[in-house]
Amino acid sequence: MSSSADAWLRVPEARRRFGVKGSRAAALLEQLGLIVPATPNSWSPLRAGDRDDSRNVIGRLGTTEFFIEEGGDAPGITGLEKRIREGASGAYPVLREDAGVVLGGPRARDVLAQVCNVNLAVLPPRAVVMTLMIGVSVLVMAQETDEGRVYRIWCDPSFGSYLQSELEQMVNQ
Amino acid sequence: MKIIHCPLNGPRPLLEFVSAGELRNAPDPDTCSDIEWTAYLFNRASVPGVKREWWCHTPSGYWFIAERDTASDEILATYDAAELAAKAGT
Amino acid sequence: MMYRLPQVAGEWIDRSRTLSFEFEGRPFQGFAGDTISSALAAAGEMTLGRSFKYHRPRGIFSFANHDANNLFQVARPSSGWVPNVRGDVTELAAGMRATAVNTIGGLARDRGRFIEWLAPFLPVGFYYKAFHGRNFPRWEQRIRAFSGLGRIAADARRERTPKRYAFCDVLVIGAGVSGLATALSAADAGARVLLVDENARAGGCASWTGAASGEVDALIRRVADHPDIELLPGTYAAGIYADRWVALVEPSRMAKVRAGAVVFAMGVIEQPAVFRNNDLPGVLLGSAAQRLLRRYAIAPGKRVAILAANREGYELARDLRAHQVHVAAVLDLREGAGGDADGLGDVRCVTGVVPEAAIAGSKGVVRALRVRGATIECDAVLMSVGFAPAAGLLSQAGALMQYDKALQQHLPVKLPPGIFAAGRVNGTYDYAARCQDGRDVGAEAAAYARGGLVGTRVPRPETARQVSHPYPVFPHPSARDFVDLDEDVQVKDLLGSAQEGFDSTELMKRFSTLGMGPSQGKHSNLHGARILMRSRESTLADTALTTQRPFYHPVPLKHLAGMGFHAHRHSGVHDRHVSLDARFMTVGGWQRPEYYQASGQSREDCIAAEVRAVREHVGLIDVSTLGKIEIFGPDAGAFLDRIYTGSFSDLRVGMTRYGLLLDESGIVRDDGVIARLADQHFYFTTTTSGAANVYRELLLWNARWRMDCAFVNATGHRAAFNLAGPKSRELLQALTDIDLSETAFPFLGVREGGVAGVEARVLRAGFVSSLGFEIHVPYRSAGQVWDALMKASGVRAFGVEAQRVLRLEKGHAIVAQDTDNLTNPFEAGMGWAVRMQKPFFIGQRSLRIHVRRGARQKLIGFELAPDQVASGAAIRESNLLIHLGGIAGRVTSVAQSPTLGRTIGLAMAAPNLAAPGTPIVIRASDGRLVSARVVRTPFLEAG
Repeated sequence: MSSSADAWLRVPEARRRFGVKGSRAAALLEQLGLIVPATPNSWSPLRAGDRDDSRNVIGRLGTTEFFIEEGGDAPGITGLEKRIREGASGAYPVLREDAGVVLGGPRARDVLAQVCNVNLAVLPPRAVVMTLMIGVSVLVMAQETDEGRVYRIWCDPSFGSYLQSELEQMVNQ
Repeated sequence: MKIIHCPLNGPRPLLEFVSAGELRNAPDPDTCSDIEWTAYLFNRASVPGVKREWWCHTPSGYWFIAERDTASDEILATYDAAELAAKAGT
Repeated sequence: MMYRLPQVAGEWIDRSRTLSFEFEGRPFQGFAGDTISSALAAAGEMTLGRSFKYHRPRGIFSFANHDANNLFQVARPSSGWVPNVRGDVTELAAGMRATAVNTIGGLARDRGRFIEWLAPFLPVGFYYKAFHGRNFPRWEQRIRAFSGLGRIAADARRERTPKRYAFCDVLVIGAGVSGLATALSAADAGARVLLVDENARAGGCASWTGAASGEVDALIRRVADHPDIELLPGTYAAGIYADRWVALVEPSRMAKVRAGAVVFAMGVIEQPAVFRNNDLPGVLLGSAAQRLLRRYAIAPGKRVAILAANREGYELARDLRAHQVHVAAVLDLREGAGGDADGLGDVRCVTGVVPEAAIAGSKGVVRALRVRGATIECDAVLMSVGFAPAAGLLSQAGALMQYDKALQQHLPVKLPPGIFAAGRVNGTYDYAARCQDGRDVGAEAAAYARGGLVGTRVPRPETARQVSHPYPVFPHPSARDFVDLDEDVQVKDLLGSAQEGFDSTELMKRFSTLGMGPSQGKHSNLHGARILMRSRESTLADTALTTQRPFYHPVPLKHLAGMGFHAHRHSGVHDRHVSLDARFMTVGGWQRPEYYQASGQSREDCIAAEVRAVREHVGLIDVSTLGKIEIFGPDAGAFLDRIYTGSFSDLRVGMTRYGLLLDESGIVRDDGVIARLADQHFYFTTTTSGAANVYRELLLWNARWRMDCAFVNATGHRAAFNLAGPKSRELLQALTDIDLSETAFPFLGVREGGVAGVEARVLRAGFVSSLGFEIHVPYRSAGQVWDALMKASGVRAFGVEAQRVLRLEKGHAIVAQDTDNLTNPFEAGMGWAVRMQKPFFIGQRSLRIHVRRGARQKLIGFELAPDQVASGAAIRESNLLIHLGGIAGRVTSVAQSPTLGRTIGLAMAAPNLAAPGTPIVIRASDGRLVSARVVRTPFLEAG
């Protein structure tokens, strides 16, 4: 974890990530009792009744692809993988080994302003953004938590050490 | 830098996009002559005007159509490729 | 001579803090808040630099960030030298050491000053005509030694400067009266406003003319208190780009701003009068004198003459007198004017003045001004004869500027959507009019930014009074009447350019260098156009000024370089490579081990040892950089049939096939291995550098074809290793439950199962060795699998260089190394991978043509005799094949094979040389001709 008084960066441990895409992906998620975000490029807590600042989230990327992050045993993900393996056609598994970080603190938006050309400070509450940060394709969403507004950022794992170390340098400046 | 309105992701700077050039339909490879085929491969229409172009939003991998006036570089409309079939019908 | 006055109301200096500094090796003192130039002026130092061409002594001229003759080389105690620091705007710091640039042997004794005696031999454009012939390089060096501004410190430390992105509804450039009014109006209408000004404080010209200063201060306070306005002083807009994208240069970094609407309130730039010796130290613009007076409490001289052609000149006189500065005369260029002379008491006011020359006294400073019919003794000449709009950025933004004869100024007449202009740049001059202009424009800009559609505004210039003299140019037969002080361009230079045929503003600029100096024509372009038009007897209304381009002011390179981000990729076992002392190379953005350094061994020996390990025992290479793509769905096989040259819909589950990808013109573009994991599930690889492009291409083809399949780019999410060599099967079997025996897992097969406790996909590979297994696992599990494999006895890690040798021994071509943009598969020996009889695949139609034409080149294998060691070592990729005195091809790959004990390689050769056994000649990089022989590939069958 890196921090200064103004901004902090954490790498969450013990999170599993998984994706599913295809014309029947939404239906499969519903059958498993998970929430299906209604509009493209939006996210939701993974299950009905979860808090808005839940760490378990599902994002809709575009129209027919979904991305899930779940902590601990990740029962939702395990169930999904099992059902896909059992031959749910039209719903295909997407291996997601993303590197993920969480950025927060009063000056988090100043850090983001150094790396991202999209105005993340004014994101609508449930928006998921796919954009570039310093040359890396990233997935970003914002949550209001007890610690204030935090940004969850994911990228291809091969870019993870680069993105993380550059963000850490900015946080520590 | 120029802003393009991606139909799926909203307005984004040009840096996030890649273009594959003008929409073109290949001649039927089984019936066309060699000349027609090589013209399709290597010739492009250079007259300025409104062109339909393929554009890709690289962070999301989404291809879409932009109608761009190549003289003024103004993008008049962007839409999903699925609408091409609808437009072809009209 | 200039001197410091007692306290002036609102001065920017802090007299309680004295700062010591050095200029040209001599000690000086100034106050905190002084700039370098103002501190020197207060000390009476009038000559601050030497001009670019003639090395004439120069002093303060504009004091508005276009004093190109007041550039200094500056060193601070903590850092090294910085060149070309602008003395008029750079704040003084304690311990600064400054020297003038462009001098030889110091400012006072500049040896370059003698060049003025050679002036008759240096007419405009002389360098285009002289110096032809062999001596030019020597002349060029001399000229470079004489000219140029500043010296770079070659040992300067690299600084990483952060940039930032910023967003606002309305960006207002210029925080003078109209800019302040615009910002308040826009913010009151609900917009988020960013207000920038290049000066250290807001207020614009009102802050140094003293006009309505109370009201301006009130505006500044309201702006500071407004929650929706952010004021950035000391910040200038360097350029404006598409869709209102503006580069702002703040003192320490660059901000890239996206604005909903942009308002230009940058005001005007005062223009000089042109007459003989108008460049002497002590001759300066009226606004410069006023800035010196009100900000730094400096008087321009003890006897001041003012050349005026507008009311501003008289206000200047009144202001100076109010501060006890002696004004010797106000000399009005206009006939019969003089109504502005109220309150000037006994100051001599003359009209109808025709200036002839300024006269230099001791040390080259002005001591008198001669006009027709009189000579006025003075030690300062202030020019207040007119203005040009600061419209450079407006033009960049696409505004159409047109010359207004009443105002003698270019005005914006057509503005692109979202672009607005307010204040003097828009032709409104008086205080109340500028406030109103700002209020109106602010509301419109806010409405535009928030989504309302408005029409483009037409300016409402006042026509009441003349602000600018139409032609304050008084050429002198003995010249030295400077139009451009940056480049020492005189009136006769411009007339000479026109005479030689360079008679448009663009051509005249380039031939005479007018406007090409650091101030980019801010004080010279308009006069240049006027002179040109008068010589051609046409009017300015028909003329376009030269095109304005970014940047508006010079921008330090470190601001542009920024942090120097270089995105790079690491595989999941990067740290293992580091601990094995890998030497890395960059391939397609990835850091890959080129080889692993064994202690005490040379690079070649390390690579050879890695090759031997694979041939004799077993080696392990990290091939995580390969592109990896999955295709799912009912049409997956059919899709691959259309994309690749081979057949995949008939590929059995559990088998792989080589995939060759062409472009529509039949040229080899990429290759990989395609595995069928299930009826509707294929998993395939691409080259490292082709991964992103191939994936995007597949998506594009399917956007056209709309087949029922889904694509996943797993490139970064999976790691992959190649375990290669005779012992590979034995080693791997100990770590997996997959049956690896030949019958259960034949060559080209693919299996899924556990490897070292991790879910893996295993492919029988043949790229570097006959027996090898490519193991694909999720990224995060890579370390676990690598460690398990490396623990086995005798395993040696090998890198990219060893892999290149190994695959070469097996005769395998690498796409884009052994093929190029003209290579079709038949020329590269890949015809076996092409199923021409398929109904359709990309490139098929073109291949029919290629087949009919016949091959133009052929990829061949060649080898040297075992004893040709030195010759072999001399051959490099791209060395040419020579046949009958001409070029017959080139080497594409070459290596010393430790396994075979000789040099082997691949080459593109003319078809008539392709038969095995043919002798060929290669010209090595050092020029020697090396004999080789064409042989069949692979060079090595077994192993």
